[in-house]
Formats: sequence, structure tokens, C-alpha cells
Amino acid sequence: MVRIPVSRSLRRATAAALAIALPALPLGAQAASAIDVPTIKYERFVLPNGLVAILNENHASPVVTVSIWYHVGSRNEVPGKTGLAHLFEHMMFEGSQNVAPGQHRTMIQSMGGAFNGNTYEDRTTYYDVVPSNELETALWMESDRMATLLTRVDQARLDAQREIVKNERRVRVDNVTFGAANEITLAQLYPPGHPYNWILFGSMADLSAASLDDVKSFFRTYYTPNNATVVISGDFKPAEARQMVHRYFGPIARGPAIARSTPPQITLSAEKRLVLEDARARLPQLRFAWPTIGNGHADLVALQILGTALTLDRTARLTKLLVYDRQLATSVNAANFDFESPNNGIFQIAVTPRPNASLTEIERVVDSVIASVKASPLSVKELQRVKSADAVTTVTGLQTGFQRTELLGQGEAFDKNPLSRFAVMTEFVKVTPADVQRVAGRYLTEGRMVLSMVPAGKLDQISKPDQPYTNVTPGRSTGAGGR
Amino acid sequence: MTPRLLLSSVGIAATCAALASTAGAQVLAGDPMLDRSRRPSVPPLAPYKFPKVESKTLTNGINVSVVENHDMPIVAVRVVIDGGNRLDPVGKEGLSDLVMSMLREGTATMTADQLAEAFADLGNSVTPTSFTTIVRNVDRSLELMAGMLMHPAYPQAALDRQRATLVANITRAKDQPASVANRIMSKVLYGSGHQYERTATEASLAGITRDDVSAFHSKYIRPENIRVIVVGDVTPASAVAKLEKSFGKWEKGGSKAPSGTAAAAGVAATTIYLYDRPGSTQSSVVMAQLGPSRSSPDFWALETLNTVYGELSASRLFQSMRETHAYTYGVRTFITWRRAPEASTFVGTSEIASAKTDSALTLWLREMRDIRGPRPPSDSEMVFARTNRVAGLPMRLESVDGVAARVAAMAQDNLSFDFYEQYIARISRLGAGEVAAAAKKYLDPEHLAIVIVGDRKAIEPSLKAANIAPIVVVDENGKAIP
Repeated sequence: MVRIPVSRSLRRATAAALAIALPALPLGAQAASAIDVPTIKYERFVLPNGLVAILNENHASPVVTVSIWYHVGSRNEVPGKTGLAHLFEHMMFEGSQNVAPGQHRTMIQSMGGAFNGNTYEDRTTYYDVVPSNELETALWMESDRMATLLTRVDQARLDAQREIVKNERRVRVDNVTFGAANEITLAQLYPPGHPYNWILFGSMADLSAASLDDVKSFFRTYYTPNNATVVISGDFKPAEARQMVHRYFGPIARGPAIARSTPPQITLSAEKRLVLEDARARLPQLRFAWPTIGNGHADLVALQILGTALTLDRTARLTKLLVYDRQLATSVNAANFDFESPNNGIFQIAVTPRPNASLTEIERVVDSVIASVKASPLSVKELQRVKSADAVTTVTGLQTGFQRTELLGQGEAFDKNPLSRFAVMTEFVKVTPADVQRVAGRYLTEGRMVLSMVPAGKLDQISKPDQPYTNVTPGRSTGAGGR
Repeated sequence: MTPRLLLSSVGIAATCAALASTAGAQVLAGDPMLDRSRRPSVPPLAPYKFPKVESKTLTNGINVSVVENHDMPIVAVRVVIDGGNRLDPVGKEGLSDLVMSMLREGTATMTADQLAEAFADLGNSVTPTSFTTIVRNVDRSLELMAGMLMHPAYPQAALDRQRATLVANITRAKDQPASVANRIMSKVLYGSGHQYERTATEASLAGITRDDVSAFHSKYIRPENIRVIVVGDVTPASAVAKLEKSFGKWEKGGSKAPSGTAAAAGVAATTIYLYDRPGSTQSSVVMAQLGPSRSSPDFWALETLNTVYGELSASRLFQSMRETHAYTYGVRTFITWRRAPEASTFVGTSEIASAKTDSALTLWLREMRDIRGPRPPSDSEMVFARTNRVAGLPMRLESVDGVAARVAAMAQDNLSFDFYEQYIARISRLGAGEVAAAAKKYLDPEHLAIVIVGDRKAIEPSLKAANIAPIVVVDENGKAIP
């Protein structure tokens, strides 16, 4: 349980393709007019205690998905208490007044259902996919932990989950070859104290230090009805569902108002050349990253299009050069990962080199492609392809109730508009090659991180070994290198 | 059926927003005296039926299965080519993988770049065996798919590149502990020369020629050996018409892939195969043994046993190894069934904190011994497992892609399409006795291969002291290191 994606951003890289409708394709490709877009109908209402509910009725399968969005994530932690949001997510499965420890998973699975909790930088989501006759049971369980969790939380349960969460960090970070790369990227792009400076798994030391009081105060501050959205999608009668939401969530007392600030935009004044060694690795990797912008920023859509345009398929500029023409890499991926804050995101290019390929040569090719998208606009055709791919992905990505709750919940939680993604579609269609050229120049600047990842001791394999660099290998006293 | 809109490129947002209604005006009170201690009583649910699968045959003999689903304007197409790695000739391991990747490298009439451009114009990619797209794109997607399957060009330069990529992927997989563990397991479990023991190497890939690729294609990627599955917003008649148009000119023939062999060695006695990965903070463990073939009458009992024992987070192993002891982030077991008469494989995997490797393995084996005798599946565990499997079906079939995957799996295993009716009936009436008997018969603590990829220095002394099984230190090919 409680399987969390590597980051929210990675999910968004695939699912957040935003466009839908398309103008006719240029250049004599297939004549196209528009795309059939399934409608997403919903009802939205707000309880007196501030809880927002969104109902999306769909009778295609005898299944209903309930998802509860708490507007809190690793971003709400403070230095010294990193990893708390994720550790807390685990505590949510440790029972509440009327649901015994472990009973949540037993009950949902005995219905044949699925459940999980997902912690991200900016939100934490719990979902239950159940047969449609069990909707009320799911709401009963979810409301019980929102209302009464602290009646069960104790030191023994915290200590057990702390060990499990540490094991999870080992699985996803410490035992993975070059698994430190994400942690390094955040720490190098965002300064200490900035809320996106640490990964959501937190540090082992902070996990060891988390106290029962920390957990309780986290719950009282963030797990309140006024900080939550309930999204229900699937086979139910809206009038009945509305009554159930009122019955189970209505009596829960409103919590304190949460002060939210928008973190500052970050730029790096110069390039950071970094080296990560790993004794468990046989082959190197290379990553470039820039601090960029996030959800709702006026330039975001153009930046997303840029990322996709570089590596969408074998004809995309970066993939074509690196993987096919020069055959220096087996794969390359470029994408902008956006945080909720409009001021913050990460544009990343990750290269998987071929054995014996020179990282220096790869960097030159990447830089030549970046220079080309800054120097002249993408072709209309390149741009159109990205829009087409996003349109089809959006439609085929709304098949399940879970997918629909993700769309509606995120829109409500971040934008106060459940269909904000559809609103972004209009912007998507309007983006021009000149827009993409402009954001390339604005964000893909010299202020970036270049991270060479090499087998331990193989410092001759790093990109541009003659230039000064910092060795950021964990457990190694940070050292400068280069000649 | 969800209503659809044909949207033009402007005004989408406005259209969508207009569909939203708000119901904020209606105030319903929450009852502050609500008794939360009572679990809601829920209405019964109508019995579930697997969607109807229509079977059709094209004029050239291609077998087609269609499932209608008009909920969304989406169609999923899957092509099942029987065979796969087991058809690789000895010494040319990797051939079938190479053939599949070469199908994307251009056709008689289109280069690979032109194919990519065609996919991009559609907005969906098409592989030789799969696509999911909007209705409007189906005809063109089928045409492109058929071109790749029927008339691949195999340019030599692309063959060299794909070969180099496969070699690079083999090398890179050695960097990830779970991949190393799985590779070693395939080497130690099946016996030398077995179809699943033979894996692609740099040398075997180097020996594969363009003629090998072409010969494999003209034998096995032919109407005789493929099945097509279409799920979504189509009727069977229109699906067949579309397929006749795209695949109809494909000449009859080819060979049905020969069945796999039933024989597999297993291990003579439970053994720990330890691969040293200095610096590992966890031990990546794979535990496996051979099981009965897909046609065994014990299939249903064994599947249900797995649910009680290790499939889910409410199963015994997870409860014990994670929730009670916090040795791991997770543990799960699964059964890899293959088309009869091949043996199945009963597999368990877990990433265990290094310092707990010995305790966790001891506990794991105790759980295995317990369920075989002292603590057989209880009645409540049986209710849990049966209901999970039967009531859970609709949730696994919510999407067009999910249905397509299930139908493809049935086709792959050569099952009849009433499989899920049997599934519901057979599992619903399983008793604890039958499942306990399956545990006794098939869970065999004396014939387990246990592969551990971990930091030898940190874990070997305590593993030895725990006296679980003989320890053989192996290389990445499962060969003992002296």
C-alpha cells in the first residue's frame, strides 16, 4: 500500500498533456477537423465546514471511485522535519476510532477493490475503488479517519510505520543505482529553506526525529474538512451520494485557516557542474535541469510543448540526433515538471547514454539542440504534432473513474476549478512557434545543473572533465574537482 | 452512454464549463449525533458478467475477437502473436525481441521516420501489436499497423542499431538489483538449456542476421499464428470490415508456434543463491518454485491460495513481514501461468532491510510451512479471498484497455471466452479444504530457489547462522563463484 510515484511531477509528465481540440492539420497531413471530446459532467457543492465535494456520475461499469484530496504535501514541511507528510500518509492506514488498524485494506480488498494513498509535493490523495454498492462504506471509512484518527495514533504505531517508510526510501532512493539524483536535483536547484528543496521521502535523520506531537499537529493543521476535497466518480445516484457526503463529513469540525504563500521564483546565477559516483553502477547517465515555472504560469504551456517537441518520437529534434543520427544514447527524455506554485518547476533533460559514448559529446549535442530552439522557431508541423498527441492522450486518459477523479480533484485543489485542465486546452491551441522560441530563450539559460553520473572512480567518464565541478556523492565529503 | 461533443478548436473551455452544474444551494445538514461505530449496510449488487466477446474470422483465416463498449469514443486494438522468446533458436537468443523491434523500422512503402510522422499526425503511436485511440483515428492506425506486420523492410543499419540497443539494455539492467535477481532466478530454476533459462547475450545477438529476422517473420508473423482483438466503440461487423480492408491482402499461411515444453528442472533442494552487490542497503529477494500447468484442475484453488498467502497487502505475508515486523516496504507473491503444457512458476519478491535479511527469510519460510499444515486458510480468509477475486472483476475491467488486456491474455493462453464465467463459478464454490490441499501439494519449502542480491559482507554471516538453507555465492549468470 501507499505506493507513491517517484514524484507528482513524473505523473504529470505523462498525464498532464493538456490539449484537446485541434485546428486542421497543416502541410497536407490527414485532413482533420476536430476531436470527439467526452464530456465530463459534474456537480460541485461545499459543506458548511468548508469541505468541497465533486460528483461525476458515470454508469459504464458497476464501480465507483472515491478520492479525498488533502491540500498538503512535502512543500508544507520545514527543514528538520522533512518526510513528515509522507510518514503521516502511512499513519492514515493505522486505524481510526471505528476502523481497526489494518481494517481499511482488509475491507477494501475483501470487496475486490483497490485503494492507496499518494503523497506529492503539493497534495496528498487517498482513493478507494469499490463496487458501486459499497460507496457508503468507502465514505464511512474515509470520514472516520478524517474525524477520529488521533484516537488511535500512538508511539508504537508511529515507530512501526517509521521503519516501513525508511524501507520505502531505501527501495525508491538509497538502493537504486544513482537513486540520489532526484534528491540532488532539488537540493541544487532550490536553495535551503525553499519548500521544493527536499524530496518528499525526507531524510533518514528527519524521519528518525519525527515525534508523536509532530504527527498530531500535522493532522490538526492539514487534515481538516476545509482543506479537503472529496471527488466521487462512477456508478451512483447523485442525490444519494450528496446525502452521504453530508451525513459522514458534515459533522466534522472546521479546522484552522491555513496561511499559504507563494514561494519565490529561482534562477541560478551560473552553471552548476556536478558529479555523482555510484559503486553499484556499470554505465553512466547524464542529466540537465533548470529551475523553471509551475502550475498556472503564463509561460507554462509553451514550456511543456517545448519539452514534448524535443523528445516526442524518433523524428523529434533531440531524440533524432542523440539516439538515431549520432547514436550516442539509447534514450532521452525532456519535460517540464510543474509544481503547484506558478513560480516553480523543473525542466529536465535525462539522457541514457550508450556504453562507451562520451558524455562530453552528448552535452555538445544537447547544447546544439537547445541553441537551435532558441535561435529559430519550431516548425508549424513540430508544434502541431505535440498538440495532436496531447489531444488523443487526454481523451484516452479518461477511461476510468480514478483518472476522472485525478482530473477533477487536481483542478479543484490547485485552481478552484475542477475542469481547469480543459481551460488550459484553449491556451494550448493558441501557442505559436514564436512563443516556444521565447520560453526556450527565457528558461533554458546558462543557470542550470549538469549532473554526470558515473561508476565510482570513473571520473574520466564525466562530461567535460576539464571544467571545474563539485562532487555531490552522498557520504563523501563534498569536494571540488576538475583541472 | 456519455454524450459527446464535436468540438471546434475554439470555445472548448466555454463549452465544458457550461456542462458543469452546481448544487450548492441545497443544504443538507450533517447529523452531529451520527453513530460512526456502525458500518453502513449496503444493498446487494447484481451479479457481474464479463462483456460478450464476439469471435470472427477474416477471409485469410485471421482470428478476430471483438468486445463492444460505446461508453467513450475510444477503440483499443491488440495483436497477439503466439510464441515469443521460447521460439528463439539455441545460440540466437534475443531473435524474437529483435524481430519485434525491427517491425517498427520501416515498411516496403514507408521509412521509419515516415511512420513516426504518420503517428504524430494522428496524435497516437501505433506499435505492431497495439494502439488505443479515438474513433476517428482507427482506420489509419490499422493501416499503419498492418503495414508494419505485413511488409517490414529490415534495413541493415536499423538492425545494427537495434542490436546495439538490446546489448546496452542488457548491460544497464545489471545496474538494478531486481533485474539481476530475476536473471539469476531464470538461470537456476529451469535447468540448463530450458527455454526460460536461455537469455539473450551480446554473443547471441551478434550472431543474428537479417536473414534470421526475415525467416522468423515469414514463419510466425503470419495469419496462421496471430489473433486480433478489438475493444471499444465499434460493432463486430464494422470491426471485421475495417480489418478486412487493412489485413485482408495478407496471404494465408505461416506456422502455428510449437508449444513450449512441459519439462523443467526446478531445484534439487532449497538453496540460497547470493549475488554480492556491495553498497546495497537492502536485500532484493526473489523466491520461486515450479508449479502445475495451466490446465491443472487445481488452478482455481492455487490462485485463491495465493490471495490468502501473499498476493495482496491484506494477505498473510504482507501482514506479517511488513505490518507486524517492519522488515520490508512490501512483499508479494504471484503465479506466472503459461499456456499448457508448460509449468507455472510460483514467485515471491521483497526488498528487505539488509540487517533483517535472515529474520525476514526465516519468517517467510515459517509462513509457508504454517499455511501447509498448522495454520491452513481459515473460513474468514476464504471469504476474503473468494470475494476479492469475484467481486473485484468489474474493477479490473473498467477501461477499454483493461478489457483488451484480459481478452488478449485469454487468447494468449488459448482459453475459451467463457473463462470468466467459469472463474466466477469455480472460485465461488471453493472450500477451505481444497485450498489447504493445494497449499500442501504445491508450496514446497524443500524445493525453493531463493535468490538474494545484496551486500554479502553485511548479510552472509547472519544468513549462515540462521541456517535456512545452503548458500551458494553466484555471478550474474547464476554460476557458483568458487
